[in-house]
Amino acid sequence: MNFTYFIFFVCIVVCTLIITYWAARKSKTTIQFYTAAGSLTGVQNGMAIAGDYISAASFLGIIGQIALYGFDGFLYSVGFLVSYLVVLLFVAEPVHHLGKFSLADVIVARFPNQHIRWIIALGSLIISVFYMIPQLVASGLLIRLLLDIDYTTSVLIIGSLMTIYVVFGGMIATSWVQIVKTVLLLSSTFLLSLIVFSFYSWNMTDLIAEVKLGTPLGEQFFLPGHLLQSPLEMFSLYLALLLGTAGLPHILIRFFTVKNGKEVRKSVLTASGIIGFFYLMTFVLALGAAAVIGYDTLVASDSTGNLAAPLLARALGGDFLLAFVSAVAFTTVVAVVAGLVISATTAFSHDIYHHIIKKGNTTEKEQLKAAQWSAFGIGIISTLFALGLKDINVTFLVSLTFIVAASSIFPVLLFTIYWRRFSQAGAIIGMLAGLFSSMILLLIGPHIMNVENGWILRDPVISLFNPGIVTIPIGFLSAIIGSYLFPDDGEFDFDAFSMKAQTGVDVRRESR
Amino acid sequence: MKDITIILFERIGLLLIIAFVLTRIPNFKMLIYREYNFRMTIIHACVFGIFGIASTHFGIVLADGEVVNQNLVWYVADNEMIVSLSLVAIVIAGLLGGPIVGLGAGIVAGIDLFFLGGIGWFANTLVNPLTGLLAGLAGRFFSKARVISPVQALFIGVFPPILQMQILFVIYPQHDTVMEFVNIAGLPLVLTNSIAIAIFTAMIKIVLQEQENEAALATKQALTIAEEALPFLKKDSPTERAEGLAELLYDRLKVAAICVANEEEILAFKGIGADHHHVGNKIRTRLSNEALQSKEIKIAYSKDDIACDDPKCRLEAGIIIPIVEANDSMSLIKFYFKKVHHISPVEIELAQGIGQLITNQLQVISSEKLRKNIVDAELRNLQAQINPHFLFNTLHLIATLFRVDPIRARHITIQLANFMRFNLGIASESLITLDRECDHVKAYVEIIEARFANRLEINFTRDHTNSNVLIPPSTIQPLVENAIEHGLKQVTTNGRIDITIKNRDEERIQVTVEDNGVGFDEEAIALFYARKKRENIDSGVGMYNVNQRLTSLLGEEAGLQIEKMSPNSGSRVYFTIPNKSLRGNKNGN
Amino acid sequence: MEIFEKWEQERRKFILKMTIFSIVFFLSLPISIGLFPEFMSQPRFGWLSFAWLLGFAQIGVTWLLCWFYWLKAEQLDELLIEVKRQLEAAE
Repeated sequence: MNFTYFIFFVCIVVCTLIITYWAARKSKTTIQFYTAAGSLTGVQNGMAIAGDYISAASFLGIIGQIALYGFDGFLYSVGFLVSYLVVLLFVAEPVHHLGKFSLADVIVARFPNQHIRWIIALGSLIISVFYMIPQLVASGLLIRLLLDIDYTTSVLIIGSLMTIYVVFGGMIATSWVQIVKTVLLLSSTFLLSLIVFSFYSWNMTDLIAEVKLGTPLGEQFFLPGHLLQSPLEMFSLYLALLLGTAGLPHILIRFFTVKNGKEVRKSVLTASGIIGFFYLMTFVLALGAAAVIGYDTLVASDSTGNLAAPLLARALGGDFLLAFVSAVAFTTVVAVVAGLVISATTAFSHDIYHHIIKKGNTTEKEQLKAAQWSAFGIGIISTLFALGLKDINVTFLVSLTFIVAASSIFPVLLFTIYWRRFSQAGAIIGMLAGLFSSMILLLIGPHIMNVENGWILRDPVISLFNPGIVTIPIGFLSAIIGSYLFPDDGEFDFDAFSMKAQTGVDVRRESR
Repeated sequence: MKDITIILFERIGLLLIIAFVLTRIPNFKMLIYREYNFRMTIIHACVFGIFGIASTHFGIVLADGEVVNQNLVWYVADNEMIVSLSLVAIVIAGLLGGPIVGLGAGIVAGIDLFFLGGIGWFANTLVNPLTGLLAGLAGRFFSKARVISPVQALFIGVFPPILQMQILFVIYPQHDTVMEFVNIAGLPLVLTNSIAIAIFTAMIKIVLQEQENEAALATKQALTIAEEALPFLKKDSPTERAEGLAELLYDRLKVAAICVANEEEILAFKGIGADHHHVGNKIRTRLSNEALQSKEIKIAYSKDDIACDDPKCRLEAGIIIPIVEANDSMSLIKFYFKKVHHISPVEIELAQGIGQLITNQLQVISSEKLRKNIVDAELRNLQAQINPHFLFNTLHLIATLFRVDPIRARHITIQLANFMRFNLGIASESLITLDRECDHVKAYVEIIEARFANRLEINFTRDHTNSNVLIPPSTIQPLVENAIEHGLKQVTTNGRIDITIKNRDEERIQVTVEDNGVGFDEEAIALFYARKKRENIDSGVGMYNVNQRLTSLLGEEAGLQIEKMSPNSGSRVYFTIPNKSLRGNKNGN
Repeated sequence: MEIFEKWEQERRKFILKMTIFSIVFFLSLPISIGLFPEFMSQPRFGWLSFAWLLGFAQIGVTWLLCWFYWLKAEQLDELLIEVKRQLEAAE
């Protein structure tokens, strides 16, 4: 191990652990553990959301995708960003007004039913865990590159670190780690972009020329279609990205951490500002990687180009910059993973343990203990998964999460908030349909069923890499059909509910 | 890289030593207390900027990857690069003083680097102000506490050198020397910077803590002294009070001497200089008078201000604290010091605090005393209201007169009624008009005259006085009663009592009760003047009560005066009251 | 509650407008590339094709629309204060 890297590594680790300790001293009640007791401002929360969202797969993966495939990689960025508009317009404020700790709280506010809680909790659990795995995998690869530790060890290190965070720090620690990491990430990408420009003497045309030289695609580099085989794929992916964020539990629960609707809006605005800016810069970095490092070297280090950013740093600034960028990437991973563990933990301990198993009869202390234990357990599970998934394509798992989220949670959430005739049965059916359809279609799709290197060595049943275009309508339709077939008994005061969801004003409570 | 790390740590160590020494200097300490005015900001920025410059010159110079200059940096050639430690000072400036101070300090240090030159000069010049600004913003963001915690400072301190390296890359792309520089010096700078910043922050925290501790201790001391002074303050004799106080203060405070005085003279003195600062010396110094006039603390900064006659007096400085007593009379407490620099803000605060506390204590004590006296008088009045002997005797008198002189009997009955009614009304007012009191006395006198017609002659003369002059109720009658019961007890014929009220001068009215009885003996007079109260029901008690009420409500000058009249024997008791009718009495009459 | 209905109406109109615009504008990217690949992919300004321009534009437009929403929400908040006041008064 190079001395430089080791020092840096230790430095960052120590600092983040200290922040966790500081948060641990404050995090003594469940409310604080789960949602940082409304103590974040809109802007801070926005930064934390951005931190949560820009995962290692984004930072590392997207740069690689664009560097290798041009426009199609960029499409991911755009899709990721635009989805925030969907969040802002439709779900952000209602989620804040309706729920307290977990996503299931929001749906259950309308349908107080154990089954619903079960299913929603299960769905969010699955999504969170699946989102976590590509992070761990990516970080495993990263650490392996930098420190020459083997993959297994690095995954174990990351897995245990993030578990420690959440067990002791709860939401505050992860919020602040994310905020810190966002600042770090933004500033380092910004500076790195400046270095790229300066490397080519601030001449954009030179840069572009070099890019074309560096990639085997040559002039074709900037044309769409290198990664996504057909327009249908493109549309399908784009749709899933657009709608997926609004169904990601670990992002949605962040809206519980601020105190009112206005701050929620501020959060989304801040987050989208940061994320947009970030993706613009990653575009520059990707160009830089293509130009400076070149296609062949990129692919040699990792077939999906995941290591483009660190390699670029080393080329431009030597080991020092490499170490710094890797430290940033490392913190990114830790932050995102911690956020995911929180949401998965919430799903388990609050929804399943507190409401379902113990039927609402737990003390705060018990809940806290349960939350901590479940954090521990989930950390272990996902680490184990990541260990066994070394050669998996990280973008595949990320897109799975978005497709699942867009097909199952998003329709149910949308209908819960806005559709009068939505029924309990509709919710259950919609959720299950979306979940299963997306998983099955992915299973029988070319990711898994690949003659050459898939898990199942056969021809795929469906040729779509991104089955979103099928599964999303399935989710919506089944929710609609379910509501018509099995309507509720109509005693529900939708108007009051809608008022509460939109404005936070609770008519029943106002009359005291 | 290891060598550079060690060297940088050595240089940092030097800087930290200087910094630590600076924080021990009181003047520098004042700098740390954050004040939000423009001038302070500029001063802070300059001081830290200079520290930043010093840090730069304590750095090292690299050429071709080797360390060149081992001593202080004075000159950097065009192919050399300077490894500057200025960021430490700049970051501290930002964290402590905010973005503007950081920016200012950074500009100062940056200009120095501008002139030093070498490769990377532009990056160095730019990164200092930028870091100062960002550090200030980060400090505000991370912590609302006055000074950021050392641990947070540690984390923040990691980034400025990283920023510096990246700016170097931005400005000098594809530059081998720069690349080499970053590889060799990058990490050492990060490490040393962050640790130095953390230690520096910890140092500053300690200084602030010290100040708070000092203040806390001083407050505690003042309160303890006030509490311990209470028994002394309760004493009636001013000399005893002064001595006790002086003793206590001298014992508890670190002063050269303590002096306690009233408006005229020294009452007690303890400490250095007691040989020539005597009890009874007059208060004459200008500063003392100023203190008495303005009722504010005055500080004597030199021997001239103390104005002591003795040239060998070792006292060179002092603090004079005026104490206001309940009846507006004043005392002075003086703290004396051997050297003027023994007086620090802490001592001044302490003096002010003690002065205030003692004044408050005295006011509380005197109002308590007044209350007790009033209660006492009320009790006595209650007694008087149903004084059985008086009533019995007077009724007997009336019964006798009834047959002999019915008109007179009726008259006496009415006077008795007036007298009793008056007694009933006493309890509610602390001051009444002189007219009413005279009516009270006259009613009493008429009854007495009727009883002791042959034995006693009572004369009542009154000048034409302002009718609204105020006097505490039941002050003259007890004196007459006293004269009868004690002075004239043994006298059977030709007893005489003269009650006179006359305008002594424009300002005062004198009330005198004279009798030609046995008079007070010397011992009784002395006891009376020494203000010792006799517990048994005696002439002392009633007079004492009257005296207390007179002095409490109308001032010391209104106190009872007792004289023994020789050669005839007999006694004379008198008091003066102010001829002011404007003082409203406490019940709003 | 007429005020609340008014609030709802305004909001609904706004959201509807935004939604329709968004669907058309944002989904036009994959759709146009699918339907007119040559047209969209041809480099116009140096290396930039309409596809790229639209992509970048979408980033900007997203920000713009978020900001519009923010402004509208502030407006609607004013109405909401009135709603709350009325609710409280009705006890």
